[in-house]
Amino acid sequence: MSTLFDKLVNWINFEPTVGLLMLITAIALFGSGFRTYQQSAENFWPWLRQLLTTSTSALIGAALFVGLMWAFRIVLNDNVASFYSTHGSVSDLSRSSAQTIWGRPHQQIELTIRHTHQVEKLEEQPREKPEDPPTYKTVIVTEEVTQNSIIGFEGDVMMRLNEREKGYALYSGYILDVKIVYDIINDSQIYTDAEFNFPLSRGQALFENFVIMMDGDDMSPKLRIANDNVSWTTKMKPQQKSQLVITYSSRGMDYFYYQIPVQREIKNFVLTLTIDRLPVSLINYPDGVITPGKIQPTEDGKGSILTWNLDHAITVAGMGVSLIPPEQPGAQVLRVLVISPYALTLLGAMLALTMLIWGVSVRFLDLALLSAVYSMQFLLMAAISDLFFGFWGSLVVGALLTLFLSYFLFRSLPTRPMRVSVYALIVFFTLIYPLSGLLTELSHQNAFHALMQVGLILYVTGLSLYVGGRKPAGSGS
Amino acid sequence: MLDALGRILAWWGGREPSASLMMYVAAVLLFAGVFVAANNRFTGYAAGLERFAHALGYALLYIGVLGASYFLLDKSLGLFRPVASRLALGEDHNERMMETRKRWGGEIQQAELGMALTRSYEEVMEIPDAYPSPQYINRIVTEPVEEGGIVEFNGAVDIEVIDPSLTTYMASVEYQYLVENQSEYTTTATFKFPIIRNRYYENLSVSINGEDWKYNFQADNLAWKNIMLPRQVDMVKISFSVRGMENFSYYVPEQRGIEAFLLTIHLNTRNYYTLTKPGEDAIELKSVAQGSGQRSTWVIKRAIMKPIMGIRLNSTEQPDLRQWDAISFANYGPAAVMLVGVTTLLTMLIMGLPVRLDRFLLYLGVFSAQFLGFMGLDLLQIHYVVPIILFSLLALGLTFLIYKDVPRLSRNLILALTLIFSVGYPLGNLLPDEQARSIFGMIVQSLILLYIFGLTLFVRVQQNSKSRSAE
Repeated sequence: MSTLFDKLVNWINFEPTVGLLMLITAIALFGSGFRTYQQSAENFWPWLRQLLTTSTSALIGAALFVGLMWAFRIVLNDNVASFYSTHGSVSDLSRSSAQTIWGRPHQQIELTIRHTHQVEKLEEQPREKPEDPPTYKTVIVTEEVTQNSIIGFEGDVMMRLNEREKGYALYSGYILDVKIVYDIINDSQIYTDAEFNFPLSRGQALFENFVIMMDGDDMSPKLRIANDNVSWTTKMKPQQKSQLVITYSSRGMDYFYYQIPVQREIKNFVLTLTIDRLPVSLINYPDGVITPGKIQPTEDGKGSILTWNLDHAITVAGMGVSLIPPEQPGAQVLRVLVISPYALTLLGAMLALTMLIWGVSVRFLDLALLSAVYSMQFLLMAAISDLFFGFWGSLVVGALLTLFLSYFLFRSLPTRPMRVSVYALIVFFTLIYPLSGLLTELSHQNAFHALMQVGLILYVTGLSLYVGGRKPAGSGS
Repeated sequence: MLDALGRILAWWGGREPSASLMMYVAAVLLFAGVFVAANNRFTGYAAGLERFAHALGYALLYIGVLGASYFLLDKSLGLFRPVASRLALGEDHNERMMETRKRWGGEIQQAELGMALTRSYEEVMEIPDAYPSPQYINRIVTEPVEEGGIVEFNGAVDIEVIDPSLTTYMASVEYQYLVENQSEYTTTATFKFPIIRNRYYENLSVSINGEDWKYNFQADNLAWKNIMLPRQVDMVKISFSVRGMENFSYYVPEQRGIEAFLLTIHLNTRNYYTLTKPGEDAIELKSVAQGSGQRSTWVIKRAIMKPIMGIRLNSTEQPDLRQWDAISFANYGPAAVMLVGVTTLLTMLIMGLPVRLDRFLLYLGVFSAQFLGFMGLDLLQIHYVVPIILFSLLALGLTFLIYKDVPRLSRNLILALTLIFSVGYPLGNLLPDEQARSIFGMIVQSLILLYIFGLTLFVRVQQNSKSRSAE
């Protein structure tokens, strides 16, 4: 008994509105059933027998109501769990697995060029007498020729979004077509050995059609590929200008950026990133990335073209884009399903209170049928939203069926105002309340729930005053 | 079960000691009233048992109804408070600022150009531990030259605020340093101009005496060297554009003698503060309006110091400070519902009116609804005065309807209590300090006791005069 009471207290703590409403309704049902005891006999033993009988039947009524609501809550909770298990259950494990198969976030780090040359140097030799003139020997050393060799950059990156499904959830994958043109120079008066290092995006699953052309020559035979890095060496004349074209296709997930890793003066730099299906309004950026100078929509308006145009600039911040997580399959349906057990309990309690206020006994068969019909709306949504109509279609179909069946269920209620009050409740909980699941802002959710509680209190008060006003004077409860 | 019930009552008593005590008193009175007034259907123990069960059930139900109303408002308050606090602290705006800081770049604190003069000469050095006889080698010795440095500074910063809400700006900067080698030696001047890592600098240019100068990067500094003859004076000009937000300041990192120092910051807004250290008595500051913007100029004619000067932009989006008042008002909701419930119950008992549970439940529901409605509308950013007035009027109207068949005096008393606990009592929480609020709470409790005492006396006097006139 104590455990049951503790469970009740925990539940009311967890869902105070529904818990209290259920409790009040159960007490009201008990009180309503218990009322007949007052007409009991004058003698003690018959009175006691009557008391026990009415108490038991009232208790059964209250327990039946609570049990009925709990049973349908379990059905709806199970429906939510089943739907969630096969729709949009994003997990780190699935994401990691999807990245292993498809590809990680793509981070393209800039090409680096190191110029060296071998030079003869005079190295002073130690001498025994300080007054002697110094003597030297010639040695050959490799010296670095420090310079900023990249004098122009033109990058064209085409990003085609390609959502990947893993473990019933979608992840924001993409396919990249990259073409990078570097204008380079040996900005010295020395013949140098130029060592090029082009980093590949770390741990990336696939690079296709990877070609490096230098002044029209395919550099493939010279390329050394190891440790996510492509390197090659070539000789460069003083003030030699060359053009380096690097093309490849790859894949990635979540975000992409291009980064200049070390501080240098950036000249004539243009990076254009075209995303085929990400409208301008949904553009987002990874941390530590500078925003583009120009953002345009694509011709069809479905995508975006981002341009970074830098000249005489310095930055080591990246340039790129972060993709918003794709809307998971059935996300809206799931949000509505999650609140369905709550909605059912509210509807059941409000319907029972409405009946009690009208002075009509609560018919548990009707309550059970309404619960079944109402639950069916959400079961139907879960079942058909993937197949036929999507979110809105399945919501409308489910709601129409519930309203249609409810109409037949309550059309035999004795008075028109009573029918109107019951139908108003059912319409609210069938059409309006489920849409509150689509509210995403916490402040809006809280505001809606507070105002809904106000609405329910005012409904009960208004109905009580209305019904009380219709009764003949002196027939108070 | 009794343990759990005891725990709940103890928790309740701890939270609202005086209100719950008054509630128990009212419950005892209710118990006594019902016990006395119950019909004597039986005789002996059976009659006592029935009366006891009847009265106890009644009293427990009233405690339950009051407790439920308190609990509902307390829980709703628990949901309301964190969301309203977020609005009051402007946390959404702060998060947007933080996000923007990562992408756009935060404040700019520009340190002065660093300059070091050195001279080099050759000397013969003995190689240490040479064996078997001493060995010698020539070496170049470099030593610092103290005479010289920055002799004049003229900085012009043009700040264009891009987003006044996020305080992002684009600063176009031009610094002119007049540097001099005041020594008798030919020196190598090494310059280091600090830049901020991960920041985007555009159109960067360094020139000496009008000639573009090549620079290198050394640990977040632009670095270059120049040979300076004795008494040579050079003009070093650095210009660039850079993104920033919130603050812009320029400072001299090491104390030095400063002469002819002039920094001008022009902004396209007047919504900013100036920052001047060590103070405006040491540094001359003038701000002049220019169109929709303003120009601030700092001048140091001759001083030894390490000054900091700059501006701080004000965001046009400020936290919703009204939410603190809204939270204070809502905080009194749970206590108010208990106090109004208890005082109404006692009023009805003292006035000898039948206490109907259904009406009492509706009354508490209506009273609670005004606080719930207040919280709901406040979260939709509607000024809190609107829901206070709107829902108070609604509560008064519905209370009138619920108790419309109650005698006029009692009804007016209930309406007055409703009004006091709807508006007057919660507004007491807007008092500025804790002590004042505590005193206010004690005054309210005293007034409730006074009211009950006075009402009881009034009813007794009325009854006496009625019985006298009947005699």
